[in-house]
Amino acid sequence: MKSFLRQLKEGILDNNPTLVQLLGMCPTLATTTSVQNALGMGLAATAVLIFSNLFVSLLRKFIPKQVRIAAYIVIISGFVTMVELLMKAYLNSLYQSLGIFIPLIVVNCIILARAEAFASKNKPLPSAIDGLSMGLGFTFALLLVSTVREIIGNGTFCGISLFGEGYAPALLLVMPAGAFLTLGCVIAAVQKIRNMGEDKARMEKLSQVEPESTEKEETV
Amino acid sequence: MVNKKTVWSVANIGLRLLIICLVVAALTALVYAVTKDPIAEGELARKEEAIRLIFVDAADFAEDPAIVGTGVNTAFSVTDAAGNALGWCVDYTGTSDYGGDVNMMIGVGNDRKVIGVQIISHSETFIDRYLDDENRYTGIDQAYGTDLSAGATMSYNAIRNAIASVEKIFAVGETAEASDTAPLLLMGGNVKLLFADAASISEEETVEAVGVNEVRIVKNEADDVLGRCVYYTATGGYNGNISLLVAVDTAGKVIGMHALSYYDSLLYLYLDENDCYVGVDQPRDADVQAGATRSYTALRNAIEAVEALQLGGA
Repeated sequence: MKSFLRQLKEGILDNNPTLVQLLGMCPTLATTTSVQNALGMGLAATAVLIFSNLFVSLLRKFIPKQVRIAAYIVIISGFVTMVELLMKAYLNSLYQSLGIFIPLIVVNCIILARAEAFASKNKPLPSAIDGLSMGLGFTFALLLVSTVREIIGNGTFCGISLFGEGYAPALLLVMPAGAFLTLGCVIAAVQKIRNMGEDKARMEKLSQVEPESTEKEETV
Repeated sequence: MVNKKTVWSVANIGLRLLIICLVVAALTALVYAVTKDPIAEGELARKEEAIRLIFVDAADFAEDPAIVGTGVNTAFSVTDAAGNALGWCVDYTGTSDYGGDVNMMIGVGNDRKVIGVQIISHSETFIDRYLDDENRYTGIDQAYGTDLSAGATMSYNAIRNAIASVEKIFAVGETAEASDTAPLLLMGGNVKLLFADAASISEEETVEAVGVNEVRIVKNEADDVLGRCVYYTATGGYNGNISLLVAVDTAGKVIGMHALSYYDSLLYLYLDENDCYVGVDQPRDADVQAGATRSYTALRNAIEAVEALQLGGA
């Protein structure tokens, strides 16, 4: 359980694929015009991550290392096609609004990166959990960016009007340039928070070390 | 000499990759089998919804097999609750070089003008710029080229070209108030211009010959065969090919020709107000002056080529 929670924290916060590793930038920029789109994209990518990680892990001893990338791509594209078909059949309005970005999950580097870096070296269960944590991390990043873009750029949240008709939305934020600006600001804010946390930890460590060094100086 | 070990190693890798591909394909096929019906039902529902969005008063619609043409999947004649014809809705697939085909429902009013385009499926993100919340194309009243940056995207062009093609298919004859007075269309040409009593055209007949694109049997209301209509491309016209609908009677003789498209500005000299060739009954060299133009020669060659096919018979 501890390990499960640690892995979840790793994917969502400490090693977030989008905000820390800066992977999967294209769908982050393109599908964050609304919170609904971001959530749909994030969950679709999470499903692909979980199943592709699980499948790669199950076949890790069977996949020849010379053609492992080709094998991963076959597996990932298969699961993306399955997710696409399921969305087309049962979540059609979401499928229509996400459009081309669903098939483009195939080339999302987070999925290939996790298959190569984690699933190919670990057992099925930890690999599936890694897929879940990275997928949730990706979804969290998308939600963060889309919330800012939708509220400021459209005056709505999940399609619900927040400020009434008098609000003049900053349309720039729902346009492509706005995606870059918002993502840049969100990454900067996340880095600042992480740095603050690290600084605090360093300071605490130093404060523990300091008394010993003063004692040594006194002896000298 | 190739090392046996190397051959086995390569074969082993290939075999393993093949097994992975087969397993993934089998799983995908399973999901496809489960989702096939809901997807088809969803698409049909979206098309029906599109008809109702384009024609607000639509109460009923029926497939109209007479309307055919490149890109046309199915055409529906649409009526209101009182049974009055409102127009047609064409299920059209436009080709785009950018991100795959664009499937759309194109509404055509009784005045034969496109009144609405509803996008059913597309694979381009940028196309949303031209659509409203209900996937309706918003630039229907604008002239092509109004938005210069739009022209740079292939899918925009696919929509504009689809509108032009559908209007071309319908741009013949008088305004139809009811479906029974509507022209019988084949490749945008009115078959009734060639066979006045035509009531239906058959499925495509297989005739393989240079220039012959389609051959269909034309029947009257009593289901008697009046002849055949040949969609023919005549080469050698001035400035380019001439697309023709050629009418052949049951004896295999050409009795009329309707020009669908041509690039010779002087071709009108041989055509009536409906773009039908006026000299079918004349011998080839009756008009000496006309014989000097390449397009005239192309028309005469088309008559000879189609008659040579001996398409007579009921």
